[in-house]
Amino acid sequence: MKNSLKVERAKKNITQGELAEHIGVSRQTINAIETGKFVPSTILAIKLSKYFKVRVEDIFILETND
Amino acid sequence: MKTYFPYYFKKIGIILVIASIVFSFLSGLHTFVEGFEEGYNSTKNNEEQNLELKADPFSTKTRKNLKFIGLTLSFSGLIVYMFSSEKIEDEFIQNLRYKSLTKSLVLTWIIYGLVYVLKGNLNLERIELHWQTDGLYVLQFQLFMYVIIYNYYKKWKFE
Repeated sequence: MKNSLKVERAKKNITQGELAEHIGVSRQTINAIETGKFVPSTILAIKLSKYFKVRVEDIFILETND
Repeated sequence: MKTYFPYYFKKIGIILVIASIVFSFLSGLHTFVEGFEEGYNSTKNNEEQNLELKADPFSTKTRKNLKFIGLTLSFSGLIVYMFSSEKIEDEFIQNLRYKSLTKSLVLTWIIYGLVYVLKGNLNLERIELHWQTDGLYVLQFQLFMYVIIYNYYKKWKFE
């Protein structure tokens, strides 16, 4: 699964730490999601989409082998 | 994995482990002194007087007690550390805990298996004789491995 979290974060001009603080997770979590090493739960995905005011599938994109 | 202690318990765990290292060092001090004496004397000629230190500063009973205290403190410290929560506890940290626990279990048994095979000690009689202490050390090693792997993930890999 790909994601555009980094892009969304850049649009808002916020750091990983700031985003983590807003969502209520650790900075490592944001880093792991951005680098594709961790796929978040539905709850966390919805929290992120609400924060960026976009749809979940705009941030998280399924790949053919998913 | 559920955490039962607040964040500051992590520091208490570390203090307990440090204390356990001191106790374990004291309980094994005689082997250190004996080794030093042996090494020092092996470098001397026969005519020179050999160094004789008081190799056993503690009685056997005290040594046994120190060893027991060291082992108990180390177990308590590692378990307290393991079950203390992070400043921010989330699903990713939980994931890291599970991963570290699985890896520490697998690695511990691989390492112990290899040591037994390579040292040629895979002998039931020996295992039976030392089973009690060997078992405790396996558990202690596993807890230690967990702490190392978990911190590697948290502080290095996903930093």
